[in-house]
Amino acid sequence: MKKYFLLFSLIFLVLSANKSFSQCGDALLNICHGRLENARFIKSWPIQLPERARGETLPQVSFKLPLTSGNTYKIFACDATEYEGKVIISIRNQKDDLVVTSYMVEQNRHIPVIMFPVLMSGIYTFSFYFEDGKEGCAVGVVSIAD
Amino acid sequence: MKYRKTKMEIIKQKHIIMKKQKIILVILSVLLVQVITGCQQGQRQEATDLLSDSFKDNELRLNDAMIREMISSVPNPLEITSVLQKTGVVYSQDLLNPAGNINNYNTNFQRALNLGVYGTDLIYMNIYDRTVATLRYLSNIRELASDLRVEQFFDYNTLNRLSESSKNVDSVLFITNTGFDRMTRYLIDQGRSNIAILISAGTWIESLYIATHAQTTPANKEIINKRIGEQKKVLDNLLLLMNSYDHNSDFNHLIEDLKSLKKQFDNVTITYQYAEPSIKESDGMLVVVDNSRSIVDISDETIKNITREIALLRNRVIE
Amino acid sequence: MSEKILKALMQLFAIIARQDVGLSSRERDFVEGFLKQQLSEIAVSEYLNLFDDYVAHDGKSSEEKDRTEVKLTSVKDSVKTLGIAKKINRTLTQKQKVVVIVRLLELINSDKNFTPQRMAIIDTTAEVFNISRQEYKAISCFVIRDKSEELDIPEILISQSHTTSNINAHFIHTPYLDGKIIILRVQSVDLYFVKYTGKSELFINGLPLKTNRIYNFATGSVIKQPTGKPVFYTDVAAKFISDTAETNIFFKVENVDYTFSNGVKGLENINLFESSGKMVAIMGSSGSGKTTLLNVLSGIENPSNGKVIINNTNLHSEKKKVKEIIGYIPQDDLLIEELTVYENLYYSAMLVFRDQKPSHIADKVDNILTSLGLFQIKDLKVGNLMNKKISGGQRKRLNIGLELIREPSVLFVDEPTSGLSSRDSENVMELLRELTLRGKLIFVVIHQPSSEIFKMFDKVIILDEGGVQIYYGNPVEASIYFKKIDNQINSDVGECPKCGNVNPESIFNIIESQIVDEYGKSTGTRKVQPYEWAKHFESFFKPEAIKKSIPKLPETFVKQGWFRQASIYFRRDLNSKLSNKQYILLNFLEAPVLAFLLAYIIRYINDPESGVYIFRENANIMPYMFICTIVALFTGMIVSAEEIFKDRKILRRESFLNLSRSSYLLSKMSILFMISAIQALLFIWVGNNVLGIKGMYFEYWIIFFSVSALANVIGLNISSAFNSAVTIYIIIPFLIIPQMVLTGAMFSFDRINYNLGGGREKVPLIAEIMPSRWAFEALVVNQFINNDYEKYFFDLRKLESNLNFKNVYYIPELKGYIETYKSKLHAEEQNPISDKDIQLLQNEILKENNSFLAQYHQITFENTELIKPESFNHQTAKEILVYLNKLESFYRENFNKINQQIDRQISEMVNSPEKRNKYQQWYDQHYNSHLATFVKNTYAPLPLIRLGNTLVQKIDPIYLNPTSRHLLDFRTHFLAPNKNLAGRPIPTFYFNLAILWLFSVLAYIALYYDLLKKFLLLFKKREVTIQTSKKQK
Repeated sequence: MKKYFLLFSLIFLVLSANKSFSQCGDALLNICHGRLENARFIKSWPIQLPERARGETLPQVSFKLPLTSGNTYKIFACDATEYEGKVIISIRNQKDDLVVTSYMVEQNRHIPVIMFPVLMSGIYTFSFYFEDGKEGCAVGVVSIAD
Repeated sequence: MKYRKTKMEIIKQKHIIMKKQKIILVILSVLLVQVITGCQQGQRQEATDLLSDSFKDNELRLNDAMIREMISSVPNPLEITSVLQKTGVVYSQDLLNPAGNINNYNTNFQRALNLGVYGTDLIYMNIYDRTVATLRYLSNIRELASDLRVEQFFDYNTLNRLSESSKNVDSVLFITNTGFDRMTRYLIDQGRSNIAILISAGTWIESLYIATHAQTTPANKEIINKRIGEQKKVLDNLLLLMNSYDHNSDFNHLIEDLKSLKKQFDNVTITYQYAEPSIKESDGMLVVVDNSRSIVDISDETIKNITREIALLRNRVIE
Repeated sequence: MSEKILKALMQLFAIIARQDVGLSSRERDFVEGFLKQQLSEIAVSEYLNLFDDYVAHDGKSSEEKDRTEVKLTSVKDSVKTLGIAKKINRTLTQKQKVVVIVRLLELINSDKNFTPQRMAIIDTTAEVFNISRQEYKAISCFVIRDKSEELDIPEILISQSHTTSNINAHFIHTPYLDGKIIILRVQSVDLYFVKYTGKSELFINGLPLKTNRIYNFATGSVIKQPTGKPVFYTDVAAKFISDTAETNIFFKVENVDYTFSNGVKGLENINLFESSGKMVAIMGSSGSGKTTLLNVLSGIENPSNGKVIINNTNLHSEKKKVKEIIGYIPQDDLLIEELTVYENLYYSAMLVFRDQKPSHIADKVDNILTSLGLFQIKDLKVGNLMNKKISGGQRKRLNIGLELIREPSVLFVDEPTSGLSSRDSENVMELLRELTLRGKLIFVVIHQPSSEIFKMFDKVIILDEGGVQIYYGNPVEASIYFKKIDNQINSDVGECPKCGNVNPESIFNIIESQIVDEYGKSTGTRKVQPYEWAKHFESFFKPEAIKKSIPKLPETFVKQGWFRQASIYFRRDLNSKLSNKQYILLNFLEAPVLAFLLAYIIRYINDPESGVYIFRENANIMPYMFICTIVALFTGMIVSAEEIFKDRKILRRESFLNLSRSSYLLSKMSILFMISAIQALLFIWVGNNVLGIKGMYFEYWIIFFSVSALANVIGLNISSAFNSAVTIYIIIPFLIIPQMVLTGAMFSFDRINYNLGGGREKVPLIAEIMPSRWAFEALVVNQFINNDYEKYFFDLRKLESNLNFKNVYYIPELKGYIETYKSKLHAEEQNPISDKDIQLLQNEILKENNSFLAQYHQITFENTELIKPESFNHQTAKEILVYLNKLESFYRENFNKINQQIDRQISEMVNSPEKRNKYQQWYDQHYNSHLATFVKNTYAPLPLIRLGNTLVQKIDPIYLNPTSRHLLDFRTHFLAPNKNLAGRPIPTFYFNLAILWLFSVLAYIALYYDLLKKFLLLFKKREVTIQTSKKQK
């Protein structure tokens, strides 16, 4: 009995840990909201990109956002389940230097959440694209962590 | 006997007159209906005449993408108010734009600006856990948004419900911010960027006002002043946005006021020190260690001037 | 006698007495005796002194006059006489003048001194008084002569114990009378004088009758003798009149049966035959069917068998022809309490004689009042039974008077003497008796009459239980008949000869006598059963053979005079209401006081610290409008609910007159409408002012008035259909509560039961029949659209709203269907779009193609036929998307245009501080933001909903022009700015107002044809048939 219960809860956890959600579009954000936990929402962007066509560059979108020194930001994104693509976040500073990205190339791993305590106020660029240029729908969220 | 008779005659006459009047009234009302339906038609012609006018695009429009980008350079009021709260600045009700002022906002210009102002006030109250007091402000926001025809971005029922308790601050902030976000995006898509710009301007003006007028202690004064100084860049962007609307007299006044504010900001210097960040992983999250720094140089004199200027500007906005 | 006559008489007496030999002592005694008869001691000496003064005027004593002087004086006196006579002519009535002549003749008759001078003077006087020669001769004959032969003129009636040989004079036999009673009739003034020549002790109206004295013999007088029959005025008058009157009414009742609606027998086999000039009594124990018989004979009820025939016309089948000649006086009072005696009669007369001049009618009324003896109290208010102002007898007489004006040929009276003293009863019966003398046929239901009254009847019908006829014939003989059957002693003696009494009670004792057991106690069962009496009677009764040929009914023709009727009703009602001060005060205070309370309570200040009341911020304005309509309904109904009910008895009586029901109803409605109009004015004036609703008084007033007026008519309907006041007041909440619920104010139509029409596009059908809803909508829409502020912007705002709705909600919704289709198609789902959704797309695109704005954007979707399940594909979807995008950009651009236009206009108005203040004030005083929220349905859960296969706009209903599918499609959603009729838009306010009046017209039609009453009767009939079928089982 205990075994089954553990198995069941494991599956449940696995499933719930899955960061893919359905319903591309504005509604996706509401579903994604749960992942904020205690962070204070600042900004979100909808991301919808087609499949990379042969010979074309990787489709991506970028948004600018001012971050203030002294705040720690929690940044994450949610995928819509209907689409294959898994989203990758990358953050650049004013000088366009890469600060951080959510995909660990070496380990072939997506990190779901980025915590960024900012000490240089300025306008940062947030770029989003999908792994392997697959077609994808996602929403990116920036919030201030408590 | 004679007296009674004449009284009766009078009443009889009155009755006959009444009957005649009734007939006349019927005829008149039929005529009236004709006239009124005619009138109505006439008036409608006027309103719909506008439809056939070609849309005179007075504004030299920056393209939408640029506008979007520049608006997004205006920081969310949460940023600065979080700093205030974290550094222990005390809450002050007096800083807020009185809810009753909403009665004075009759034009889109006033409404948009003050939608931003009230938005900032709302966030300020929520940050300080004064959620229950926000109900009137929520209603104001709703009303202004409705007047501007952008009411569809806020789920008021949920907001009102959530605002009944301070425990739901985060949800409230979430809904509010996403609402403003979507609203801004929508306004730009709809070709009403001027409204979007004004809303953003309003939020910024109020944030700056609160930051400059909050009670600081020697402990947090430095940090806050630095944050104030950083607004220099934002103000530049705002002015850029506004300039494309300088044919509009209301905008013009605002631009002038912002320009004189900018003069004070000219005495602020910001320097950037770039350094490579390092990444850590903990608890399944990537934690960035920011080694870059921004250094803000701002004198007390400048702070005083800015405070004065923003107060004038802001009070003109909210009156 | 009045002072005037007395003075005149004294003067004339003096002149006459002075003639020839002058005043004789006998003459003086006569004058004194004459005065003593009329006046008190003091007055007697006063007038006597006056007389003496007049006589001594010349200063000469009678003996000193010589022949020539006598002649001269007589000439002088003649001139004086003429002068006095002329003066008297102006001041006295004709009747009074005749009395003067009679007294003058009596004077000179006192010492039989008929000198030519004296005669000449009286002659002259008579001439000046316009008394005809013949009458003067008759009068002088009466006064001077005593012998029967000398009195053989038609103006004289002699009553004595032996017959005369007179041809012209009339005669009444009075056995045991000593001497003669001589009665003079002066026809021109309808006066009678009596003198007695014998020695018996006679009493006239209780006063002793002196020999050779002339007395006035007035209406209702009785001369009683110690033994023998009294001489009644009516008998005397009858003698004079009976030969001249024509019989023209023949009333026949053949085998009449009557069964009540519950099956019980009311009348059984009634037969009778009567002609004009007779008074018939209907008597019987309680419950024997007297009133039923009266009702059947008068035409109020129809017999189940048999016929009632009047001059060859069947009363019941040809009621209209016969109605005019029938009169009915019920037992209850039909008087209008608030009016005076005079007014009651006057209005009734006006209704009867509606083609005559009011002055003629006034004269008639005065005559009737006099003949009823009510002239003195004519200006007293009638009052009601609780609050009597006039006595019971006077009331009864007035009731009779109301019917008498019409002079119906056949009169039915129900218990005219109940509750009256014996003196009053006699008066009333005398009145009725008099009518028969003028040729009327009168049927009187009477219970326990005195012997005197019993004897006044020509015939009596006695009924027993179950409505069986057990006697029909002469009243005195009735006693003989029953005694005979009962084998009583003295059965041959009808009445006691000396006392002149016949006892009707004894008749009933015989009829109802019960079987007595061995101990002498009554057992409760009757000796003789009703049917046994009836059988007896059948064998006894021999119907009279009809001698004369029966003439046709006299044609009655009265001009309709509708307006006049209506105005009479109107004035009567108005006077009645105006004289009831309490009523007026309450009615007209009610409205403003209520309004003040209401408005004052709900006038609140949103921001208590400012202390300033701002109209714009008052959230109670919409509820105020709701309460206005409900108050209007309520007051309208209360005012009218009892109206017809109160009048019902009067209406019953007036049903015999061919009066038009519509004139009665419309005049009633006019008064009620006047009251409603005033109440509306007061209410609105107070309420609107307190709440700061500016302008539009007329619109508020007319809606309030229209609702009130409709409620008036509905109230009249209830009043006319129900039997008791209590029922009426119970019905009222049932009429008002549904209207409150379905006005659309307390409960939104979107949130009521779907099965009853809630949550649809248009107003639920049940709410369409609620007048309150139409009124409320009219007020709300009017207040929002036409207030001084909004009317500047309304058209622009409407357009702006339409464009915004399309842009923000409508097109995105439609696009959503396409997007869903696309994504499902992409995901390769089986059924990417349902047939219903396709149908919806087609419907909506068709609507868009034909919409009002289409003429401006001219973007049409060409192939709407392709939007069908069979032909819908990816290509179709693409085309639709293109179309929708085009529409969207049109709507977006133009929305911006209009929005900016409005903004520009407002900016213009606020670009300086003074302008801004003005604007703010203007805005605050005329615009109400809560009302705006209501009419824009800002709190709608969804701005757009799907109903079946169409999309329905829920937000901004006030800005949404309704579409109509065909010419007669006038139903719209709630709070539409216009309604469509025959393709043309009509502002909601006027349309709704018209609907309210349409309701009123329909209600009036229902009222006129008494539809509610008939509807209720249907239920009663059903009940009865169910009951009888149950019984049969």
